[in-house]
Amino acid sequence: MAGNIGRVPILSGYTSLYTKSSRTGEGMPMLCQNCNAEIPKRAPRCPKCGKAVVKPQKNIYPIAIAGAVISFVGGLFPAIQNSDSLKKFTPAYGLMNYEQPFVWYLFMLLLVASVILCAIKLEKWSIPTTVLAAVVYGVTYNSICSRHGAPGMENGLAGIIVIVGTIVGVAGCFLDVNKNAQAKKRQRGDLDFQYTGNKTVWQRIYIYRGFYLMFLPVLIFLFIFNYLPMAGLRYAFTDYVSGQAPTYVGIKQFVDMFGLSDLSMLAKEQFSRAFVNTLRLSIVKLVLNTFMAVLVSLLLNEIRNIYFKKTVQTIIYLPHFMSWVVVASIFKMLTSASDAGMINQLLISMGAIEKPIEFLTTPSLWRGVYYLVNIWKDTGWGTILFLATLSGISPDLYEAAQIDGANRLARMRYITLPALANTIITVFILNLAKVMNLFESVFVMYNPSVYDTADVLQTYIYRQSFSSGAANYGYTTAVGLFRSVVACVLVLICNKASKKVRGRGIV
Amino acid sequence: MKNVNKIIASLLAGSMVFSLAACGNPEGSGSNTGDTTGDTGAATAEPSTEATPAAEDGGAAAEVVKPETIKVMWDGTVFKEGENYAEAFYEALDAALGLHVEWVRPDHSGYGEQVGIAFNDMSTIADVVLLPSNYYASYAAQGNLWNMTDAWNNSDTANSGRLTEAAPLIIEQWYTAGPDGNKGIYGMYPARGNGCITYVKAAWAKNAGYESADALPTDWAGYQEFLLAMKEANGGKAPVLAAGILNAGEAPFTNYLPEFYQSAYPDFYKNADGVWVDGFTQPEMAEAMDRLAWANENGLLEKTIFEGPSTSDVRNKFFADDFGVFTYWAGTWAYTLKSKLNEAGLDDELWNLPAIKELGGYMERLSPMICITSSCQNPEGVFKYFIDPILDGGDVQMLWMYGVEGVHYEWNADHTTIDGLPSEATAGTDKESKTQKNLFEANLKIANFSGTDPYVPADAVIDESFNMFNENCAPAPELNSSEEYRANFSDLMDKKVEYITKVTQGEMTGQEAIDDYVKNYGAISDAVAASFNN
Repeated sequence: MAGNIGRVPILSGYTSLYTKSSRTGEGMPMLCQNCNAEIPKRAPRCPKCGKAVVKPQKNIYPIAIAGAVISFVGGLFPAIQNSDSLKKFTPAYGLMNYEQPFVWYLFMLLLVASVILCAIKLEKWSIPTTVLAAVVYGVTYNSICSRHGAPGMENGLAGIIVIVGTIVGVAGCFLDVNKNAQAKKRQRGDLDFQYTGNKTVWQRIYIYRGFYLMFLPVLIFLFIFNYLPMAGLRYAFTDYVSGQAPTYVGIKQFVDMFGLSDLSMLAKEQFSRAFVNTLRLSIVKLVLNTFMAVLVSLLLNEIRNIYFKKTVQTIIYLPHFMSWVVVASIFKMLTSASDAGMINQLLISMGAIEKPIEFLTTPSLWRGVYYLVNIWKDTGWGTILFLATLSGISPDLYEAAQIDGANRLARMRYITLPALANTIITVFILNLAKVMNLFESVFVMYNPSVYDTADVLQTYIYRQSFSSGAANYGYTTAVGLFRSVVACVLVLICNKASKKVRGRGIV
Repeated sequence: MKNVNKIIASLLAGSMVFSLAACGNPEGSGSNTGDTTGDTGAATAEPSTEATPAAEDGGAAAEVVKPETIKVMWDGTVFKEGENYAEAFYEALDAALGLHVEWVRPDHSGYGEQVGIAFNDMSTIADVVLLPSNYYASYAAQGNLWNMTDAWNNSDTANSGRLTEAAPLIIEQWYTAGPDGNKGIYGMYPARGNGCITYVKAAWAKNAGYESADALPTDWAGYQEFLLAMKEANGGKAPVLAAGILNAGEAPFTNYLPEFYQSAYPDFYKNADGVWVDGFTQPEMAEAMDRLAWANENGLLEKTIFEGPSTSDVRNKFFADDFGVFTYWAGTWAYTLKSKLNEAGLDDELWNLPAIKELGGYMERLSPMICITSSCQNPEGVFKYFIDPILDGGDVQMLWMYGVEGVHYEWNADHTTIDGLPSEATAGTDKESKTQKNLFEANLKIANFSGTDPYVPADAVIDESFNMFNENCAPAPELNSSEEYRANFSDLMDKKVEYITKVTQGEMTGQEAIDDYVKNYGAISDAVAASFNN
């Protein structure tokens, strides 16, 4: 590709132009609007005519879209609700449980239309849809008040949020349009960074129809198995106990979760503890696992006997393939305070201790054991990426260093570690996005003695859902939704960090 | 290309948003509650979907439609596939009832979870569900179950004259509050709930100087001495282990460590004055926790108890001779424990410890309940043709109690008694064991056979164990449910287990735990108690 600068026929032989870059939207070469020459990646000017390349404002209208999203969130809140502090939200009435469900669909449809219109550069049309959504809400609110308004009922937060959303959406649209206009004015005469020829979206889809066809099954699969199940998220706004139809209660579950209602202090305490434990256990585990994987990789890299190296690698990879149930059983057997606990028995027989140490039932010790088990299980697997990176380091560098008198430690410090740095950060960032997904490893190892330090969000949700016949799935869904939102934010942060560190994102 | 991605992303985001739209449910809750003519529940066969007038006059009318198919959800307490010729039982039951029973058999260990999940979709829920006892009151109050009070009172079984002496007390326990607050029968079980008694390994006790079962302790002080002596005489091994410091998953929660809990009960119960109280706040609970702390401090509790062992883990440790005092189910389990000890090459003599004075009696639990769900389209038919015959005193009762002739048991030559046949899982192996029972054992049934019960226990220990329980038992506290209870049960029980564990491990005293509980969560506890008392 690098030597193929010049006029590029877009329609014929297009497959040869498709680069392997995974960067979104960069599968096509950038062409000069002036002379249609291909412009190399990150080139400041067209190599043929010399026109400057300017990165324009992104084709996103963040304020307008934020307005639509705010309005949407407003629709989840109750329009009117019970004002009794003990029975807050029961009953509650809003768009989600309005007697005419099509109104809720219409409200959503209008707001989704607003977002899509912004995305496809028809931002002006998003104004009427956003406003219309507010009108739909207003009419519904009046209807709800006339049907369910009674002494003891008060206004919910929906109205205020929808109004704020509408104002932000409409005003934001003008602001975004203005901002883009200014940017366009500044770049007038310069090259459009995203210009890829005179083809419309539909023409390009047609050209690459083969690829889209191949993508279709994946899209359908994703939709059915990843997106459709998200329909269950709606239960976070309901009271939902076994055998009963879910009843809309607005944000009651979230209010309980954060301890903002009467008698919810226990729920708040349990939830907060689980949340803090999730972050603490995950992050420490991540740091330790990454550190150990790097350390072991460096040591493995120093082994010269290939057979010994392969044997060690195989042995340390094996624990990764064992189920958590088996791993937990092994470590329970080793660390148990009963007569079956091998470590305790060994220490006692050596005279190091008199009474067995309760590794698994002492809160302060449990975490240590948990980290240790994780290191044992995942360190080997974690070395794969690092060893791959290490194998890519040129032996010339080591030879040169050796000639310069660098010993083994110095070579590791000045050649190996810097070469690994990028991979370490990448692995760290990729794993950081998964810190909220902590379940099996804790579930198989914790017990009531160590709930204070071991209970994490997913085990909390599990106990709440299945430990009795009195589960409120609305509450557990709300906790799960909160966990997902935090995880989503973490993924976005990691994506940003990844872009900064390695030039491309993870999503 | 970027625009295409944006459009796809927007469409996907849109689909997510619209997935939320399906939430609208104008009817609100309770659309299925107690409504036997509702439009849900497609599980029963066509004829059973016909509404019948039978229940309106107390079930006395004869126009009950016989269902062709009944969907039944059951745990592992009847013969299971691959374990003991379940197919033969299913076939014989279908033939005896003249209808087809469609069985749903989740894994026994996760049955409670599966029941909760199954009730989430009342359109697919079975007509009959075996409900864990601690779900019973909640599900009845929520309107998930059909009120079978009239059906039971007018049933052949109730009016057969074959009910045992213990039956009236057991039936009394079936009454629980329905969605309207009135008490009724929402489930039944053909047998008593049974309970746990404490088994002592004779070899361990003899080592400690207790030469016979008669020498076993009769009060708490004696029990303390006994445990200390057991430990001392058996290599310093802790003599007691149970599946957790509190059996929080199933009522009655204290039944695995009865000598320590004695009269304390951590859940809500009705006290002698008829007032509902939170058992965890009562003085007996502080004393119970202190007793556990004393036992732990003196090395009398096997340390695994804090690691959340399952009942299976505990049994295995018992068979491995890791401890010597084990509180477990009375009846057939006595024989199983003895057999397993024998298989392990250990002394298999077990002594039954009579309830110590302070305990009064071993707790008899409310059995799991056979319930008809509110989605069932023909509950009268299901009751009459499936539930009532369980205790018909004849062929169907034989099937439920002992299985199929020639498969699970055979008649002796004089045709008056039966012998169990080897179970499917053990037949032909060196660990062959004979089938003892199907759903419930002879000693626990609440209705006799029309003739004589033909069962002869495989070993005298079964009868000894059951007789010990029978002479030393007391009913478990009544179960109740309210919105406040259901909303807080899980969190409160978690907290109580934590407190009990902390006290047992010596981090605080029993009274400190109660004070802390009352200070932090007293408002919730009071609200639940008030909801019961109101």
